[in-house]
Amino acid sequence: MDLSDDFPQLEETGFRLTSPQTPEYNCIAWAASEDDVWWWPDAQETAYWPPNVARELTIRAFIEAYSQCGYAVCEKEQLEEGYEKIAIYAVDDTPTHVARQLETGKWTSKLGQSFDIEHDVLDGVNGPTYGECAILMRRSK
Amino acid sequence: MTFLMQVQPSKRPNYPIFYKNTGFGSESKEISRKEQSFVRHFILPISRSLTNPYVKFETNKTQWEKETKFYSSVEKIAMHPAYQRVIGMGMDAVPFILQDLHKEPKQWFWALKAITNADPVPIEDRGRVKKMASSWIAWGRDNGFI
Repeated sequence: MDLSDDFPQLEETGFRLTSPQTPEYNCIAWAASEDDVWWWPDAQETAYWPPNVARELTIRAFIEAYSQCGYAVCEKEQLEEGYEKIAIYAVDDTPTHVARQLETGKWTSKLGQSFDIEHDVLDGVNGPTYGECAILMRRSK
Repeated sequence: MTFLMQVQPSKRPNYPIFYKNTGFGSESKEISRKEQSFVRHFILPISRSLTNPYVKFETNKTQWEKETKFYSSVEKIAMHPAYQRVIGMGMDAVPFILQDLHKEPKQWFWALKAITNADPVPIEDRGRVKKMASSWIAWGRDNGFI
């Protein structure tokens, strides 16, 4: 399996596969700890999007969606006792991906319609497909 | 044994189409494998594939799956050129899409809504890919596509 085109840093920074391939959920749902639904603010309304949050492809709408799950914007990516964190990635301010921090300090990402991975560092999935981390959020455990 | 789903005569395609193997045992698997091999062998030659809807669908589906597998964005998935070519096939694509959904639920919902102008998915099931697939397959049966 070659992931280097989409995620050029992943091999070097370390990762492992943690689930079989499944199209049933995406990274946005997975970051909210859901594994049976596809979240996205599409105009066609084919995907789930939290009620009362604008169905628009903006970082602000994503922040508001996760705010409904108890998350608030924070500064640091490092593991903090008593908190769980998520990272919203973007290309040119357009959200593309969300990763969730694990208790080990590593990150878990669902790669689109493909599999879940655990990546050692936040930047592991940086690249042309997801861009880079634009916003960090945290909530109390 | 492999079986052909019942299709209303007016909507029955005039090209080869195979469906999910519902049988048990090694013989059934072997027959299904040979059937699929035969169908692919029959339709793969360029002279046939240029006009064969099944080949058009499979070719575009394969490219779409490969090139969008890491996307979460419904827009990026649906705006991919290969996906748009499937939408461009119109009603011809619907039986193939429903067949593919039957095998494994995936992001065909935008295409189905665009082609058919229908939306059989209850609001509370939006995003629940398995339930959405079931709703569309039921819709396909009710409307004679499968």
